[in-house]
Amino acid sequence: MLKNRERTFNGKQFVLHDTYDTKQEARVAAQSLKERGYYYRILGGSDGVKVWVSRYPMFYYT
Amino acid sequence: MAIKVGLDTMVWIHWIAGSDNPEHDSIHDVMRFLLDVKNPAEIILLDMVEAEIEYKIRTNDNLTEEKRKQRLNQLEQAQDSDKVFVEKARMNESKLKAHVAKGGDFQDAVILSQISNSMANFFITADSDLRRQAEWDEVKQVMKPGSALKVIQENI
Repeated sequence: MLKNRERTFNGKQFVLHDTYDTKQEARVAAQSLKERGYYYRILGGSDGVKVWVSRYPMFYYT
Repeated sequence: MAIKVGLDTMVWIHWIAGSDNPEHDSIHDVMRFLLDVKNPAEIILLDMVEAEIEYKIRTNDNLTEEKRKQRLNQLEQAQDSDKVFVEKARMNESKLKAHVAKGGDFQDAVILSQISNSMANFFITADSDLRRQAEWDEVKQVMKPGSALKVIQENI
């Protein structure tokens, strides 16, 4: 179960932030994560639009 | 509510430097825990500590100009994230004077006098003198990096 909520993009660990009905809602959430200093990924699927957030803030990877 | 943890200058310096000295493993463990998006934790960066970190990076002659810029950028980026909060806590003058009168290190006295008015619940330092002085003065809960993670996890 935990594995489904964690994945790696470009060598960085991400955790599932939330799932949204529309891409627009997902973008709003992602923008907020960006402003808080995190990387994000938006991925669409049959079960909704998922927003993934980097496990650590951007400066951690610098 | 997020647990608020203050960090001493050298904890930051070793972490930013990406030190691979086994003695600094506990610093990396604590930082990984505090910075994890899933953990309700916030790093309190006292403005005096922030100034000292910047000073130490700028005056480190062993760093190339590129490395120096990179570390200063990282410090700046940290302050823009929601995991790090720069606090301009008012210094407790009576504590500052008491530490100076006791003959302690002046910079330590400045840090301790600011910690006493800080919103941080805990303060992590590898400096045993600073921990001893904090104990003498009963300033917050001051811990060494090796025991900090366990204490923070128990209090989160």
